[in-house]
Amino acid sequence: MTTLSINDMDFGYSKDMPILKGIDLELCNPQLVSIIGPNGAGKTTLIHCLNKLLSPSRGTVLIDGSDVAEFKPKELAKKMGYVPYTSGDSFPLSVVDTVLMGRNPHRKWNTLHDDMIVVEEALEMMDIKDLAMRPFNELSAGQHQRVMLARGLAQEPEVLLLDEPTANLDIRHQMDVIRLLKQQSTLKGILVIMISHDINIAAKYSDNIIMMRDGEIYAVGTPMDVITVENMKSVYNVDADLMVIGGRPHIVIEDYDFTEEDARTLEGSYVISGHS
Amino acid sequence: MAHFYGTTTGNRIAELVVWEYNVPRAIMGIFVGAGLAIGGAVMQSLMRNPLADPYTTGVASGASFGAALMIMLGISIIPVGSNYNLSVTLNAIILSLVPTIAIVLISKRKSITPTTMILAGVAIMYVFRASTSLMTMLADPEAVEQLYIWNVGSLGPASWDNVWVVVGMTTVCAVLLQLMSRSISIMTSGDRSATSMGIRVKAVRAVALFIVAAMTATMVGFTGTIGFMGLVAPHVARMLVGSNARYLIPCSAAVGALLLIGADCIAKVLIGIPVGVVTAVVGGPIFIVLLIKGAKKVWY
Repeated sequence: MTTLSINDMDFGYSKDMPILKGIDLELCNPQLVSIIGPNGAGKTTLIHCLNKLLSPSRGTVLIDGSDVAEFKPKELAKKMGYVPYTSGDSFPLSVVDTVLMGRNPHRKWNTLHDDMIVVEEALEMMDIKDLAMRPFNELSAGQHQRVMLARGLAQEPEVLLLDEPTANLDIRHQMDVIRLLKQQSTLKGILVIMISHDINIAAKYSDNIIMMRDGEIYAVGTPMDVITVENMKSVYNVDADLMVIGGRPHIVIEDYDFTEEDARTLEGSYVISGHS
Repeated sequence: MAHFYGTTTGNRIAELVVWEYNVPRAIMGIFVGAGLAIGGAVMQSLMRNPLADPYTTGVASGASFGAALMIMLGISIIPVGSNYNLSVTLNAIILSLVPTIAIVLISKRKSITPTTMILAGVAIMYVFRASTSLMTMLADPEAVEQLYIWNVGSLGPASWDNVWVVVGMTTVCAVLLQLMSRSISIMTSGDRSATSMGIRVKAVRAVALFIVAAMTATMVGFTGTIGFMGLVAPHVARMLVGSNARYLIPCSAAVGALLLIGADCIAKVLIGIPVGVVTAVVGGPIFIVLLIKGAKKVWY
């Protein structure tokens, strides 16, 4: 079992402007954990501090008791994979070469048959095997996202960090990807930590949810513990109705600011478009 | 051919011209073309920028300034006695390394992005250019003409005495860069992605930039600044084999060698025109056509 511990961690680009404050967490695999919170809450910064992309100004991040700061890059990459929000590829490779990059921590000089088997499995899981030889820049945004996820899975990490993995996907592929991440966490014993702006999808599939506000962890626990009307009001400043579907919370945001004037404007535009 | 078969019959002068002048010139053309193209391909991948090449990052202007120091002012950084050509070459090599050293030192700062590195290279380029221009204003016309020819670049100085230096340096550097090709490919995915896949981003970038700079400096030292090759050849190669550095590096080398040899043939037919002029005048329009037709496939 892999345990990820974050101890009293702070991060800031300067001393006057802390981004993360006093983060304390302990997470074990296998499970799917979602990080939710408004824009600017520090979700991406937290993920970057976990895999050494950023160095915390205070505190430690430990994997099975070993400080992440002490890991060599390849050793850490075997333990922790990362799927960014957008791909920064300026010179696109083929899909199979892009996914093969994920094998880098495991490869020596040559690409072995075993590496290609893992890559093929990852392509199959993401349903993009037929795109294998296509250039990355000729794909749709949703296909990009699935290639990036396949690359993360090909890395075979114990902890997989994902920054909004469903951001560019349609509703069907969102469900497929989250189900697949959930399945992978169970089958391969991975600790999957993903940032999500879709609270209902996070609530439906996550084992635990981390809710952040202003660089601090506001609430941690099961979806039923964290997704509450009170927490939605104090973190997002929205009034929400809460339903429970299949033992999972489901929120519906009320249009509390919707004035009569907005209604008239909307009605007018509807009439105009209806006549045209 | 007479030289290989050991016969001394035939036109002795023609044989001498071919063996002593044309053969080293052709070998120099192959290796300089290949080296500049490899340098461009690697720099573009490392900087994630299609405009990066050994010259746009300040190497050429550094070399030019070094050459100008000797040609105009007679200043030799490493005193080598009365050997004028060696002094020009050494000056060019030493000063062409300065922009790369500056870029590598600047890149150690955390907030620096590859784009900032290129901008730093461009800034250094302007400083060197302005200094060279100042010297030009003060120098006598003969020295200015000599510097102009050097700046445009020519394979004319190739001889059996110097071609092996370029061949050896280019071969060693190309092999080293080929060995780094997987890391170079992964770095095109961005620094954060590459780091998360176990690449030591800053170390790979610094080592590869030094290898490219050393290779380019050696070539520039002997042939002057043959422009455009480091920019065009890698893009042609990308259109042929894609951007995986494992294939891109050898393909760029082949394209660069062919283009420079081709350009030098044209330069020799039109006697007196330096090859650097041909690469720019012929290469420019061809490159624009290629860009319009194939850019979408090659980069974002």
